[in-house]
Amino acid sequence: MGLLTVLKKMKQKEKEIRILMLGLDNAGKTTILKRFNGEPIDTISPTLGFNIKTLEHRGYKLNVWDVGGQKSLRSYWRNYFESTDGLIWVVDGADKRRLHDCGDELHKLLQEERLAGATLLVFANKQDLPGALSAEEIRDVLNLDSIKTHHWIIIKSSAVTSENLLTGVDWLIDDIAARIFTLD
Amino acid sequence: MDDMSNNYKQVPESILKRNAERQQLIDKRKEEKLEIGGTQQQIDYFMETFSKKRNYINDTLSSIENGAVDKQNFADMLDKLSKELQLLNRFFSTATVYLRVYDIRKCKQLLDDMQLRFQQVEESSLPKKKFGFKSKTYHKVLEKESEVIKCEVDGELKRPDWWKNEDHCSPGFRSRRDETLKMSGNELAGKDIEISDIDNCTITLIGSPSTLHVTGIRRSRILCGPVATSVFVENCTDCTLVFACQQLRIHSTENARFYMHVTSRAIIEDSVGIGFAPYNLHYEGIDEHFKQSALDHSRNNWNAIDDFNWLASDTPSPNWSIIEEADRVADWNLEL
Ligand SMILES: Nc1nc2c(ncn2[C@@H]2O[C@H](COP(=O)(O)OP(=O)(O)O)[C@@H](O)[C@H]2O)c(=O)[nH]1
Ligand SMILES: [Mg+2]
Repeated sequence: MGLLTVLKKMKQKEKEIRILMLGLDNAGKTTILKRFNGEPIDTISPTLGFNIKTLEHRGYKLNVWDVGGQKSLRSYWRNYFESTDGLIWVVDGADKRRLHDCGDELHKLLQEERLAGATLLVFANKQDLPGALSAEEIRDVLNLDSIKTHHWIIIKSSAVTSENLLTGVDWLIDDIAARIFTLD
Repeated sequence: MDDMSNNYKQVPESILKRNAERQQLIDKRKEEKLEIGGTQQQIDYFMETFSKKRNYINDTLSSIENGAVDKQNFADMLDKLSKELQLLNRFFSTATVYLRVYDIRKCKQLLDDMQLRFQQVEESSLPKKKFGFKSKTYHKVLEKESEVIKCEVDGELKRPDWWKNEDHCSPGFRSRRDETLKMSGNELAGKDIEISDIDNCTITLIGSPSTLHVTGIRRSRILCGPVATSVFVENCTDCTLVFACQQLRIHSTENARFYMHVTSRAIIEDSVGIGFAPYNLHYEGIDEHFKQSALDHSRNNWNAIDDFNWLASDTPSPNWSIIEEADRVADWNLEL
């Protein structure tokens, strides 16, 4: 048995993926997480700290960390960076006023050494709202095309209608799995 | 390998070829690894460094566990430790090309143990339910930190040419002075409404929007029917705001009175002088609008507010209070 085979086996046994969900407050992070878990979404309070959920999906164990996005909490984000395989960045497509803020925070985050290598999934959320910017528009404003350091994708979504939540997460898992569960 | 090659007969030529190529590549890489790896010197050096680092991390963790570290230094210590762990992980990954199978397994186990222990220490050093490291003077500290975040951003981000804030506007009111303004029914239903830059106005929204943003308001009164999701309030001073919604988020606001129905929770951040009273807006058709919004009419947490700058649970936040019944506005005199 070669070394590669051994390493591959060790990873595969766990098949555990750590996902960090970040974004400005009010973007819909907690709602997305609850939707995923099939919990009711009408009783969700603004996140005072963080939520952790372990979800089983397609044979993977997803550890999802949902951390509050209020200004006063952003400086604590870094406490959750360790061993992150995937980053879900949630954007409120209808909050145009703070979209620049949102872009600044994202680009700051991507410079973090400890997030190097993490796959990035951007949800252009709240697409059910008539005034929401499209995924293409958000890609432009957030200047996503300049990201060369991470694999990324932007997908329009709605946590209210569940649109594309699964599509996004499936892409994320595929990208991560291709990277960490196989070595050839 | 041999028994598998039988199956290959049914597989298309192209796939067979690709597989053969892949197998060659893998073998080649294996060979390369065998060539570069394996000197006893390298292995010894790795083992020595690994165990030094490991001792350092474990000792630091022990001193935190034993309470030998000042609580104020927790955050920095944990941050430093997690970086060390990360480095060690990387050091290990690059070394796997020349380590023996047994060493790989052993080191991996040791790394996992350290990671687990680190997480336990991290969790137990965080305050139990509430969030954050510095609970005592949260109030002031956080104000400073949010300022830092603003100026820390280095380098201007490139913005597309079409992007101007004025271009993509949600329905609502912007930049109004000394007016009485109104929207209703279908103008609001299911929409994202934005009210911004308002001075000395009374704004009435008779209907059920999906969400509402209220920013940059001075000396004004805003009344709104049931909002299906969240109301987001920022930079408002000397205002009276009457809302029903699922979540209410209040930021950087001063001297404001909220009459609200909130089915989950209201939060305030960087705000002072905020008063709360129950929602008491009445107009013909409001029941219908409650139904449209799907808000639970019977659940109102108007007096349970979380202050992000005041996480001490034993004393109440000085930043908000309940408006005395005698001081509440009883009738809004809507001119419909
Ligand atoms: N219309 C609409 N509202 C949403 C969507 N996702 C979340 N919300 C609402 O936005 C508000 C904030 O959501 P929450 O998950 O608490 O945001 P977080 O701060 O990012 O965790 C809540 O009132 C949600 O009901 C969405 O896709 N569409
Ligand atoms: Mg949340």
